[in-house]
Amino acid sequence: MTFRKLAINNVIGNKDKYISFFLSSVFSVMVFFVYASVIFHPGIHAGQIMGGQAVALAMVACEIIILIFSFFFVLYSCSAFLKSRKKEFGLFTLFGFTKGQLRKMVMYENMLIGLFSTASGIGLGLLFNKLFFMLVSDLIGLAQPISFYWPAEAIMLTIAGYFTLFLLITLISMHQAGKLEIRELLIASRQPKRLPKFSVWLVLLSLVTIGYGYWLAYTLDMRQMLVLILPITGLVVLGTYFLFTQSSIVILKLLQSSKKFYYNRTNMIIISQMMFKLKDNALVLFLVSVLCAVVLTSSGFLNVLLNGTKTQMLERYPQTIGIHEVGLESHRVIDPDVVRQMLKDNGEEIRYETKVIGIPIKATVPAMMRTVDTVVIAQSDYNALASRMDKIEPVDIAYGHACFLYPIYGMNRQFVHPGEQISYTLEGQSMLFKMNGQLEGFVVQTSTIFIVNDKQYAEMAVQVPDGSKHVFYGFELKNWEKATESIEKIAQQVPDAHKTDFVSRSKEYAGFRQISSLFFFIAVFVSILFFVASGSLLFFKLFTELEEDRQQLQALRRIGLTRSEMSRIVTAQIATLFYLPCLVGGIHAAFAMKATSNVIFAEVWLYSGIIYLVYLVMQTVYFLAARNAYFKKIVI
Amino acid sequence: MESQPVLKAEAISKVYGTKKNLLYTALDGIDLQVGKGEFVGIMGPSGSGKTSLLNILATIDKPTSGRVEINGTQPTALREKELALFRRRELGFIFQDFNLLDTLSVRDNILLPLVLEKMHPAELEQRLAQSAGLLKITELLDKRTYEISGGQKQRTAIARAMIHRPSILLADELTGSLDSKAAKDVMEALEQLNTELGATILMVTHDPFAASYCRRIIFIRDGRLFSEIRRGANQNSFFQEILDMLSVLGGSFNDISQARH
Repeated sequence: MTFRKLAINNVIGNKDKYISFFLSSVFSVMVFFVYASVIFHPGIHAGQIMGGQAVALAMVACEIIILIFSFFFVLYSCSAFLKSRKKEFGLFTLFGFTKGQLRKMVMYENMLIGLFSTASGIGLGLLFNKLFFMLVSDLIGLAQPISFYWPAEAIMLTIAGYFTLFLLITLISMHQAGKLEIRELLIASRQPKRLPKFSVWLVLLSLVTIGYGYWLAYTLDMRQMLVLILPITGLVVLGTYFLFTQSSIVILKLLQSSKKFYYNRTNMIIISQMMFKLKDNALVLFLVSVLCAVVLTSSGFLNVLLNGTKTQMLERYPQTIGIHEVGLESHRVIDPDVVRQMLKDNGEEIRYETKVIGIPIKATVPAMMRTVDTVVIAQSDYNALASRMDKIEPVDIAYGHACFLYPIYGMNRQFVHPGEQISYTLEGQSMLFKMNGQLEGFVVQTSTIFIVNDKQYAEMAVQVPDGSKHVFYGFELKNWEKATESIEKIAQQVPDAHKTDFVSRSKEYAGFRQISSLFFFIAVFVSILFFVASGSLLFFKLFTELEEDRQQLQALRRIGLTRSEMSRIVTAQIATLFYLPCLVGGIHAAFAMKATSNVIFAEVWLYSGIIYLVYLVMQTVYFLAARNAYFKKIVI
Repeated sequence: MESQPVLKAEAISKVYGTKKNLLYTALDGIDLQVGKGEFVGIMGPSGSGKTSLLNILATIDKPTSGRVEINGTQPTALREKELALFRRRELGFIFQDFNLLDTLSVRDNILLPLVLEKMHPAELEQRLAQSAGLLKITELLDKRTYEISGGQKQRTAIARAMIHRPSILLADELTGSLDSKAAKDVMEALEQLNTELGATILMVTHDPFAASYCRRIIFIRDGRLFSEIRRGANQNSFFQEILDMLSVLGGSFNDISQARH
């Protein structure tokens, strides 16, 4: 057996421990490489692709984050490996390995893993590159997907980046391996564990910092936001650290002091082992909780922005296309038949059409301190439009009365009040409305509107010539989010003088959506990377302690512990490790979302709830995989 | 002295190996009876089948043929879960390497069998006080397992093995990891259990000194019963008798000494 073969055999022999670490490394290399291949794409470089520069910039930032994260992840995993293999190293030393040889072995092993994970990551990345380009193109809304190319520069950058990373870590590991003492090495695994201790002050500190951080987040408003975000994050992160290292022990001690609970079947074994496990894993649990909170908060925040904007757009533009004509049959902006035909030609499906005729009046609204040119529409038209909107309620107006519709939601200003008399002129005649009050929202593409009873509307309509009546056409499309190009074609038919009378929701939305969904997409990949890595840390921790746990459980089995009791013990312990950070991170994220909802008036809970659920489902898959693999190893 | 038997083994055989491999007969038709209140030792050279026999009697392993009956129950007829429950209710185990959980205090280690059975905390305390007093470990109850000596650990293990009042205590080389002073303490404690509480004990050992505390010793060689001796009034002459028997038996008894420094 050559020296190199020994290193290879060591890796293969420890494959259960290495596998999750290896896979996470492969995944981070893959993400790094795929981002790099977008950054170096010739099309993006030359500025041919709209929005490509912004994407590339965001990805450069992500690359740096990924590399830094990978560094710490690999460093932590490697030094934990060394610790878990102290006894093995002790034996090698006993057989006469020199320190130099030990270092050399560690170097071979690390470089082997580094080499394989870099190669596999790039290989997988090449495989998925085309798919990734298609997704990005779709999100930017390109008609022609970004073409596939041979990403030589990206490959070079990935190899250079990860080679440096693994080299650095190998040097650190070699240094660590060289420092180990033979006696220490041999007795390492036999050293008894001390009973975990805690400090009352640190426990109080953790409670106070988390509590204060939560309170600040809960009461956060727009003005304090920029000043307080960093302190809140700092407080909560500090508190979380002491929560896991100190407070967790207090909680378990309290459970232990309840005789009835503690001396109840397997609880005694679970709690006493948990105390050691939590203390040993406190750092990992803390990191995973913070990562979980970051992932949930950032993806939740982005989702709120994205969906909040969509909601706003839907409110601001009641129909995908809105056309405002003056004159019943003038069609100075565009003929609705032309619109219909062009939509059909471009394969767009119309969900519904609206046509509302407004009677022009001049109304004097005292609170606005001026006379406004506005229109009157019929109650039945209004109610028909309102029935298609989420937030708008139908009205029932008596003859002689009117409602004032103001086109902005959430304005806390009443321009007209119930019972107020508003004077207006219709074709030069002065008249009065008795007001029912003010409503908010858009039903057609114009500013303010007065709504009156159908009978009164009919009476007013006969007094105005058809040529000065206003007509509002609306077309709601089925695939409005992707109809930008078709609508642009129609807009080109509109004469320049009337461009402002032809508006569409798609165009405005598309621009925003492009950027934000790209950021979302990039963030999702980084989130998944964090998620995979944090799960891998837990997985890895479990398997390094497996031998010890196995001996304990086997001893218990001999004195008559049943299989289902063993399963309960193992399940409770692994579930705590996997779900506790999820729970803590989830609560952190919930307070962050509460703060968000204080600042942005948007629906936050639904979207972040969905993201949390997705997170829980993924974590459950991880948990079940870990539990089953672990249980199989323990019960032989 | 032998009233109704607590443990009855008839024609126990154990053959290791698969169809393709060579077969190895570890036990060959062993008959054995242990009566209530007996203190029996099993001795034999390395490879004589002691451990195989104990594993079968402890229901951890199954015999290839033959019949075991403990307190009227045949363990081989039980399903896995019932067997585990049977083990923890009817049997008490003492191991060479103690098998104490180092995450638990001495108190909790002893209580383990009762806690698994969900006994009321008040009764737990009462039983604990009794066992701990008898084994002289009352002062150690709140200590952790790494804070106490080997002899104290083994006495803790004995307390755990008997707290649920099993039908029979099975001990496997219980002095194997102890120095001679600690071995003496532990054996005296075990003898006291036997004489004062009438505990039924079956012990496998290499150590003639430990064996000299037994009332009856069964010698096995090459998987068969070789002979049996009973203790008279004098422990010292019994010890001599054991040594004589071992020299007749031949074979290696060395594997015990490596554990003792």
